[in-house]
Amino acid sequence: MRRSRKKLSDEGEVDMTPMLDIVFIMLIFFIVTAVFLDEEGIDVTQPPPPPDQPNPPDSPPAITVYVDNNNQCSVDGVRTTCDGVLARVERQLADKAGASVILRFHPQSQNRILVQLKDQLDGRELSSKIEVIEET
Amino acid sequence: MGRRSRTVIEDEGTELNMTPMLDVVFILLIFFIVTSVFVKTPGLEPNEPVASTDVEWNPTILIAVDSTSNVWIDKSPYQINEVRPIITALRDETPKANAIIQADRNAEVGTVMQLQELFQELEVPVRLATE
Repeated sequence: MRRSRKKLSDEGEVDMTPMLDIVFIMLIFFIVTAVFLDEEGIDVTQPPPPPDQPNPPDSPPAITVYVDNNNQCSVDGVRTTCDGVLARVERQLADKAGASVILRFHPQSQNRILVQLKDQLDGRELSSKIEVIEET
Repeated sequence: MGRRSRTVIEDEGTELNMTPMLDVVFILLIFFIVTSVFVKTPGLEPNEPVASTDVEWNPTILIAVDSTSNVWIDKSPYQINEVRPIITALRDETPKANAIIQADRNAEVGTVMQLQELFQELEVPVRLATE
């Protein structure tokens, strides 16, 4: 009598093996396909192009930084090292208060200069606009 | 009678209790399901420039630009003028996607900014990758 009851309760247990197999296969699939991304980046979003009227007369003065195809930097036409751009821009800002900064790049200049200048200006909370043009 | 009942008890004692292992397996499974991102990786890791004001960014569209200004999407290289339909298709697949441009230090600014403009035109938030 006791034995037969025991047998019954054994049979009532659910066999978990097939579910375990599926769970393991899913686990292995997700482990294998998982891509762990830790990306960092800077924002180089440009303001929308202004309406067609060229510079209104009361527009604030601008400081132009140009980087040519040999990665030579110049600020308002004066040649400088790319590391010295920030110092020069700040000196210019002392003269032209509230001036906006325009970064002009030759299309063949290198990405690292773009990131370096943008990063430096962002660090000083100077907003800057990026343009890509062939000539100064 | 006495012998038989002993064997039954012994049998039950040697059976493994799988419940704690199952718990762990389920937790692992859920962790990997939740963290998995199905992204098409560009297929190369460019030497990205260094910056100090960069922020964390979780992109689902990854585009790489190598040092010779080839554009890499999903492990194939393209020229800059042929990527527009590919990026548009990627955007349509995942409309709320964020994008990242993984450009090499020596990539040309012209290519990088063209990609940036393309993403802005398609209204995809995009960042320029740094280390």
